[in-house]
Amino acid sequence: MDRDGTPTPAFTEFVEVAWPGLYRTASLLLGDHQLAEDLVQDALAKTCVSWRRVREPAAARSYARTVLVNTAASWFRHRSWRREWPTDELPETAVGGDPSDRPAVVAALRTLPPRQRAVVVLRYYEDLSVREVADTLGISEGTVKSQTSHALDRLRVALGDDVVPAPSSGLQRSRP
Amino acid sequence: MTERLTDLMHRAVDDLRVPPAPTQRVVDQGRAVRRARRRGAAGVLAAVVVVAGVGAGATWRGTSEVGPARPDDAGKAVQLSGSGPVLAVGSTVVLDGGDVVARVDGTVRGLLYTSTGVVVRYGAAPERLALVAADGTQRELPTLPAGVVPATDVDLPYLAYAEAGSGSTEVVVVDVRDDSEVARVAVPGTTGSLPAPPRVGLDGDVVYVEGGDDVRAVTWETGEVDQAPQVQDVTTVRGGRTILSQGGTRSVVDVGTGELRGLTIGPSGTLSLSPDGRYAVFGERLVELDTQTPVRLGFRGPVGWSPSDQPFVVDGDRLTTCSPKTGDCVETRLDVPGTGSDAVLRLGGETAGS
Repeated sequence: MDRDGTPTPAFTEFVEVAWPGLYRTASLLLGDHQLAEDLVQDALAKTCVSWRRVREPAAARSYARTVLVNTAASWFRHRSWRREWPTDELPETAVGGDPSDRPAVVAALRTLPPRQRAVVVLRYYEDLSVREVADTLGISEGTVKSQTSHALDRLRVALGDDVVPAPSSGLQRSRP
Repeated sequence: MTERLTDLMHRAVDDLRVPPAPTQRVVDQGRAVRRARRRGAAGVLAAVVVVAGVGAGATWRGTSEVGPARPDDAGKAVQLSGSGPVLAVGSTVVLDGGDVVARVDGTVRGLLYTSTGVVVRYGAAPERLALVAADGTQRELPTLPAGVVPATDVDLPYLAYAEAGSGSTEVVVVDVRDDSEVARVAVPGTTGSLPAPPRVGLDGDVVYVEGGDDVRAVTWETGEVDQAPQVQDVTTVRGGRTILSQGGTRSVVDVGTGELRGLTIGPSGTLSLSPDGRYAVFGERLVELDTQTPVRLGFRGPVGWSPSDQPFVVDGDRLTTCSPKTGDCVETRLDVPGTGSDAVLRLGGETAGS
């Protein structure tokens, strides 16, 4: 956006290109399509305000993704949101039905606390490294690793060993 | 081990029916946030101040669990009434051009505008901070480490400063509404044991911090750290502009590109930028930087700025406030009880480096 508030052509083009990917990521983070749409719109509006500081177009998607995740985190901190989604409770048994069912994986993600959910989506959907996840969330690499481990333990309960094998039964994902 | 999980997540969303990008709504919302930031700066104080301190032992609350960014907060800033000059004489703070007087427990050392009120630096060793808000309340803020000089942005409810971290300087951003720490970013290549904490400037989502021979731009929402070659004095960055000294002249330039924004002057005299960088003043000349429109003011001398970008000066008991659009000025008499003639005068919105 220019100083007078006029959006640059580069920004409107960026919105068109970035929207689908950010919408999918938001859908995984929130599990609700309407909320995902609202979240991406919020994140891109904030990116719009800071657009003149985005020097490299290639960095814009990363910037918008960081704003998106942090905006989601802000939503999660809201008390009414917590009441709506009691994410701290672990399901007693695996989610019923076929774990390869699409709703099953989204439902399983919703059982995770917000930060664990963000870590899993960024690492295993966005394919970010531990370092990149740490930078995006503003936390240490050690915290990313521990949160990943806890999240995978929970997802194993929800989705079963076939989807998330126990560490001793397979090779650890070793991407740094 | 997690390939199946990755595959499941992709299958869950990759063939989603993605709604069309609401590009116009995004742009409109971005404009609204930007306008709200401007409005948030309009006016700061309008009532008698009540002391409601939290005590000198207070500390900034820790960074919240997930991330530092609360970039929407500025957009929700309450629109405030009153927009007149803020100044201090000794320990007395004069608000809204003289309509309100507040007192703090020590000599005022600086007045910093935020979107939720004025942060008043006062006292010595250790310096203390108070937030005087739009609803007329005064609240003591936690004390900063010795030698730390904070910075604010008139459009934001945040205060930024730098302190020694473990092996490097750390930039800290706190929310003055609830004392929460919203970001802490280590600045690579800096030392954590400087003789004094480096100065910083806060401008939107960037904290500019002195890093020895150069200046770093820390995007506190993301933790990204860049060089800021156009910035010489971090305290002069306002609204994406700064004052650059070069070859015996000084100019207002864009912090990102170095592009000249006007008003090049010689080495002497005071050049001052308004709180949101829209105007610059040198001597009797004021220039609206976007349009390069010059206006002649009816005064000279150290210039303060109201939160809404009105330049003002104080001469004895006379306060002169001017319109930056027309140059028309209004002179009023200041009645500041309980202050001696030798009391230190501080002007709100002063460019610290001027």
